[in-house]
Amino acid sequence: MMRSKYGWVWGATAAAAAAALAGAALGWRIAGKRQTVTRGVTVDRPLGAVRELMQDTDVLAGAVGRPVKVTVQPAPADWGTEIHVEVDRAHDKAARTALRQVKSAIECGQVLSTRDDPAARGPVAEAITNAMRDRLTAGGRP
Amino acid sequence: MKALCWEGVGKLAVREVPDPGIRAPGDAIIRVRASSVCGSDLHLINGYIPAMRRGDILGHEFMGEVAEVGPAVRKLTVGDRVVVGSVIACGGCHFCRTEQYSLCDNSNPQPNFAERLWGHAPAGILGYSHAAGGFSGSHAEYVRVPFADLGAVKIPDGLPDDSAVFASDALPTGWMAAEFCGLRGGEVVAVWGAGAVGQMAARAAQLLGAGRVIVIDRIPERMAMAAEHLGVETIDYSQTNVLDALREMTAGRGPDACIEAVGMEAHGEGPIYAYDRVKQALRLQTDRPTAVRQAILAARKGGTVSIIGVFAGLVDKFPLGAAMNKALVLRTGQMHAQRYMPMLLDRLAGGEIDPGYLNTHPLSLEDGPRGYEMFQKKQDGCLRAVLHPRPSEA
Repeated sequence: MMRSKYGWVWGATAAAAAAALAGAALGWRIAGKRQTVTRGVTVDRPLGAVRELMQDTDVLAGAVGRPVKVTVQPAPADWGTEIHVEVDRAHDKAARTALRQVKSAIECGQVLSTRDDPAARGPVAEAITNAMRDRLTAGGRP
Repeated sequence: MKALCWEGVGKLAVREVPDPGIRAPGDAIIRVRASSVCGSDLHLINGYIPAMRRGDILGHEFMGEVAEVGPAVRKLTVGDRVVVGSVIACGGCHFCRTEQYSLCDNSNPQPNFAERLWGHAPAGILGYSHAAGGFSGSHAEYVRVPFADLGAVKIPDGLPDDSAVFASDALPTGWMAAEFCGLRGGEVVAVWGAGAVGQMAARAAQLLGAGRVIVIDRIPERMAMAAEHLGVETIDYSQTNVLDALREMTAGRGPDACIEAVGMEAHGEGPIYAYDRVKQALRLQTDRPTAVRQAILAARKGGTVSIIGVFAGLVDKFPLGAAMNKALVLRTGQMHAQRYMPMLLDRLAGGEIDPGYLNTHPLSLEDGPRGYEMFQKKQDGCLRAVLHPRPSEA
């Protein structure tokens, strides 16, 4: 008797709680996506040399796929120079990949890849391997 | 070309694969003359180091002739006989400029796996899984060597291929293990493992001043070989309590330095070894630290434990309390091949070290699967099988 009388109260409470949780999750997600993150990499070259190379910030913006805010500053002790970029969270992975590649290009003049190294694989297995290579290459800590 | 490929856990096959090509200005293509099996390959073959793909070419310890060079290569010319370090190093990052080549920042193009597992990615390694960059290995007729000016070193005339090949990995690894011990002269050094790296660590310890070297293993042929070629003492851990024996041999002190040259698939005796096997089989630990534990417990107070055997992940029952309370120095790392190779080739040429005897089984590339089987099962006195893509050059 009690259950049927007050059942709608419990139902409405549960629905309101679910809506609140969903709203909070959505809000958190939207807020999170709006946030920007700062990523950095250390390059073993003097500040002046790196600053000169980084004058054209399109290098990083091109790699990331959108404008990025770049700052260059001396690294502590004998570590060389720190490059930092500020980017929205959606482009975080691209920014980390770009920083790693810029560091490699400055320090050793090339960005290594093992795509197309010889292996005994057919085209399908190689495509799957290349997808794995991409996952292991993109992002990460610069 | 032909190459020895990983075909799944425990499976190897010689397959036809495309030839490698110059991909970057600093690359060289090396025609392989000799390529050794290595204990660390067993971790890949047996599936303990992940990120292998079917069809990957194995092999990382090798020598050969320069067949082609990229436009930025300055120190090598076609036809040079060279030994190549297994670790790839760019030469331009902080770690390379401080001669810590195995920590190179730029030579592992697929760093995410290592970063998730270890926090940072060390250098790429030829033929050593996609966790180490996914480079094709040296058990092939040809191999691409990135940053060749740094990674490939000319071999002095007159030095046989089968000696020079060990300057690629086993010898520099052993040398670095002994260097970690900080020897000043006259010390007692115990080495776990009478494989090629263990024996080279023992020889390096002698050259760096150890007064006495004791090698611990269970394979009679290997211990006999170490005793014959290096003049070291040996302990058979399957017959003797190693800790008691070392205490007795050092009048209660324990060895000044202990070198672990065994790694993640260590063998042992008793319940703790059974426990390690079960935990590793159930993937509750990735590595079996049987020899590391013993080395830590054996080392004298204030001594050094040098861990040069390969470990991949997590271990259980690690005696950190013993290490802390005995004030031990623990040193470890993948070897910095480029730092040691030129010096070691000079020592080989001068006759101070002669690792040629390590090659107990010169084989053709086609015999590679059989070579690994003999090596893994320690059959026929196999210490190392060295594969020769052109058997006439063996």
